[in-house]
Amino acid sequence: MGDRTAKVDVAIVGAGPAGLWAGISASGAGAVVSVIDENLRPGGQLVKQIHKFFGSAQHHAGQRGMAIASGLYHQAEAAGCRFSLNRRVYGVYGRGPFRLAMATEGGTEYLDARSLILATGASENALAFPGWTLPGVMTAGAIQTLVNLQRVVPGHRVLMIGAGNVGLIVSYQLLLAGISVAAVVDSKPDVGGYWVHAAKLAKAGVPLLTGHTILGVRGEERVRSALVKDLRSPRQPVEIAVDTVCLAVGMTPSVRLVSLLGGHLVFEGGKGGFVPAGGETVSGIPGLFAAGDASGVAEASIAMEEGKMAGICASRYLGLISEKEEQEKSRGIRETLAELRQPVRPVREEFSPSLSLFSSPVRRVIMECPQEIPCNPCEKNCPRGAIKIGRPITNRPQVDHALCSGCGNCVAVCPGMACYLLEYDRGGEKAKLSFAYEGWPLVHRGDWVMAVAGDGRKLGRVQVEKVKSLKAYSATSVVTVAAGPELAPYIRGMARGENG
Amino acid sequence: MKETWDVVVVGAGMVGLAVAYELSRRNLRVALLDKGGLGQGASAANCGLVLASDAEPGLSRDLTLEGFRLLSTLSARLGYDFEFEQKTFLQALISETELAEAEEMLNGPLSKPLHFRLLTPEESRRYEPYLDTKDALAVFHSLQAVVNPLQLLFAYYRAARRQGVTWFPKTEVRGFSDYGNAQVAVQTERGEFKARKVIVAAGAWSAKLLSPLPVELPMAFIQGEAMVTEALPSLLSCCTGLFTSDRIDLEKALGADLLAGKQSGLEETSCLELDVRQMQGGNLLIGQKTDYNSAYRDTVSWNGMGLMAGQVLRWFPTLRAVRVLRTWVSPVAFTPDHQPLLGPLPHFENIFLATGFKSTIVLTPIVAELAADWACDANMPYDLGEFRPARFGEE
Ligand SMILES: Cc1cc2nc3c(=O)[nH]c(=O)nc-3n(C[C@H](O)[C@H](O)[C@H](O)COP(=O)(O)OP(=O)(O)OC[C@H]3O[C@@H](n4cnc5c(N)ncnc54)[C@H](O)[C@@H]3O)c2cc1C
Ligand SMILES: Cc1cc2nc3c(=O)[nH]c(=O)nc-3n(C[C@H](O)[C@H](O)[C@H](O)COP(=O)(O)OP(=O)(O)OC[C@H]3O[C@@H](n4cnc5c(N)ncnc54)[C@H](O)[C@@H]3O)c2cc1C
Repeated sequence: MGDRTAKVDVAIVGAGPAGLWAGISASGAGAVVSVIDENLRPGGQLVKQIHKFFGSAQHHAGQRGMAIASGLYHQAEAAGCRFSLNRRVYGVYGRGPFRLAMATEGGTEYLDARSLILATGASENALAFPGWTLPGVMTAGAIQTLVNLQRVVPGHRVLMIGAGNVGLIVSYQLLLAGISVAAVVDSKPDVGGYWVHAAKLAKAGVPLLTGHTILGVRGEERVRSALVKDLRSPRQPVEIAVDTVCLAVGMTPSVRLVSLLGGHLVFEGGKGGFVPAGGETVSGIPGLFAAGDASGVAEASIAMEEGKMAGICASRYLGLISEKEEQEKSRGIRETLAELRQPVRPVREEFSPSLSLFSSPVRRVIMECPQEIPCNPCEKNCPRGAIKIGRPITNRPQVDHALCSGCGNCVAVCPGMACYLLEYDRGGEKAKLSFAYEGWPLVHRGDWVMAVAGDGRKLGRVQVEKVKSLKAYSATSVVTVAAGPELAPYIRGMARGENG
Repeated sequence: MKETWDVVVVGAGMVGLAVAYELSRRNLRVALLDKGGLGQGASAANCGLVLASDAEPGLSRDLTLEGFRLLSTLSARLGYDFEFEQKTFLQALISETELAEAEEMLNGPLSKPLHFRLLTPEESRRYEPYLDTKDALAVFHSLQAVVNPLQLLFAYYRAARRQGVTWFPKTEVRGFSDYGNAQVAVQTERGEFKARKVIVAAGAWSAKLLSPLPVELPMAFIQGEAMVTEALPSLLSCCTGLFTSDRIDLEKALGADLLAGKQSGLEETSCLELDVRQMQGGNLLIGQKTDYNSAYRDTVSWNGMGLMAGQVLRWFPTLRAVRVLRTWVSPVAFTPDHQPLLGPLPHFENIFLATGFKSTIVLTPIVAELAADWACDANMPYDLGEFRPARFGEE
């Protein structure tokens, strides 16, 4: 019997943003590429992300995760990548070539690859406490699969553990699905995720309990309540009635295939645990590369750049590009990565409109973006060039109000939903405030809605003047409400389920 | 209510509270009524300036100086610190007219007690380093005082309650009837209050309250808007503003219209009398835009907020990013001749009116004493003739 094992130049395990970009870049250099993923749909984490990604516009930030996934998939297909989906790589035998063993529904399939890129992402951490095995305790990834992919509501009132970006974003996704979030609990003194993501929850009135921890859950058949303790106070824990406890307590790079091959691992706490030594070129094993969360838990923009880089390294390894070409191509990527990887420091800000806002002329963009995060869709989507971030991408946006036309694109595209438009006419009685809104219930012109402030405080009923929902806004509406001048500068959104 | 009060005080603004306190010191049985709670009117909405510099010559000035003296020791008497503090006031002069007016004030009788001086812009920065004086011809300097208006109210309230004043919040007065026999019946939403005497300190609402009585009171009201910012580290040490010649002219015209009984041509006009200062807690208190539109309203105007914030930034560009926590508006009583209405009503000699003060805080302690003198039939140290409410009907 002849050897029916397929042969490729580059095998990529994992079809997340890192794997897809690795494929695009290696195919571009002329390699025969196969991208393998255990899921039915390519995209990795992105498939489950119904929110608009923060990050650099160049890396599709401002779009929803699932849209980015299909965009990258089509790009990779067009570049010539072959896809082997619904296949899990469970073993790698031999090093030259690498022989991959893949579990499929019909049995094992093999694939020989001259070079191997591991873009296997990361797996979620769990947290053990009394009652953690009760039905109703689940990880953020699990709840996302249920809610965002399978459209199943696992509970009605959730306690989120972890105020990193995942905890914050998933909480917001739950709100969009009509699930209430009792609180977000984190033992650290500050919110670890981005300020803008925390702000979305604050607007919805979700308490952010930093400096708190979960002591356990109570319930017989399933979760009925959770015990939460303030770590700075001697007081007794409080019991919060919830039917679901969701864990978003960090991710660990998936490096099992690296270990299996005997590659070196080093421990880096900031990257989520053990990661392959040597960065994209896994040291000790020629032809083996790693990218994305598998080489250190980070973000999609970083995963894409690392994927690109791994593709270039593999192409060089295979002799498809010269050393000079490799250097040229990688220089830009290294610069971008250095920019994206700058540490993000926590900020504690509470917003109220500033004196300059009150003194402003007719129209004003309010940007409540106090933290230096790598994100720039507002700048890239402003048709008049009125918003400037520049480089590094972590700069905070600056607005030239004289150039602003009031189109509202920044309001619609900001992944943090942190842009607002305030307009007033000097003599007028009413001012207008526009904010981004997505999900249910739908709003219409003429509706009376309950306006809320940045901290979720209910400000009063106001009438909707305009609802702008362009196709390009991808299911976001820019809602304009009219309110008195004492109210309008403070409005940051509307309470869900209280319109009509 | 069956009992008879010695005095019913209507209105729990600073005037009403101070009056109630003074009355109780004289062992009178006092009921204090307000349609809302404490300081629902202008008294919790003001900037806390103890302003003496704009007092008109005559009785007004005498009372102002006496009030100023009383206020400086009032904290101790009430046993509560309401943040009374002497302050340097700086007023930017931006036109030759203002400069001339200011020079005239330098020779006036208040010049010495209030330390009037004219500073060059550079000199003024020694007092207030963040002041940007590029638009100023000169800066008018005076030494006056400030209080925390909310704490002042509370100080009076506490002292009055301690001395036995009975407090009736949410008790709107709807009218009065004369019982003869030296008694007044005060009709309220909670029934009737019998009193020997009534003191009306209902601020801008006084005219409305007294409208059923056959008394001619050509009162109007103006609306003041203000804002407060977040607390900042110690930044400003003075109370800084603009010289207020506009306002004086506008108010003269408004007064003349009122007296002539015509619809004011000043509807929709407004002016800015800027003052910015930092309170002890660190918050900046910014006032005051005044407008002469006589409809009650409960929301601020964009125009007012824009003017105020714009002017603050003109003089203190540093403050651009400082956040505004709250904005508000409140009506303030206004009289055609800019003099208060202080004295018993014609034909209703047991109802005493105390409102319409131009600079209320500085006058409050002395007004309270005078009202209490009246209630006790004591001799008053001043002749209040100039301020008698009946003066308008007589011409
Ligand atoms: C809730 C949430 C919100 C986020 N929001 C943002 C955001 O707004 N902006 C941003 O920039 N980033 C965001 N991220 C992070 C971003 O999604 C990840 O950094 C990014 O997806 C990492 O890409 P990756 O390709 O390395 O890994 P992944 O996207 O995790 O893809 C790895 C893929 O490999 C597959 N795989 C693993 N092992 C095997 C195997 N043995 N065989 C076959 N297949 C395998 C996995 O099933 C998976 O499909 C978010 C993450 C989460 C969880
Ligand atoms: C923005 C602003 C800034 C100011 N700055 C200063 C300043 O710096 N210095 C200064 O001296 N002054 C200042 N003023 C003016 C000052 O605040 C007022 O003149 C003063 O508060 C008036 O006090 P009052 O007690 O007479 O009236 P108010 O405080 O208005 O009190 C009247 C009370 O009567 C009650 N009332 C009315 N009708 C009835 C009824 N029918 N039955 C029962 N109760 C009734 C009301 O509820 C209210 O509580 C300012 C005013 C404003 C608006």
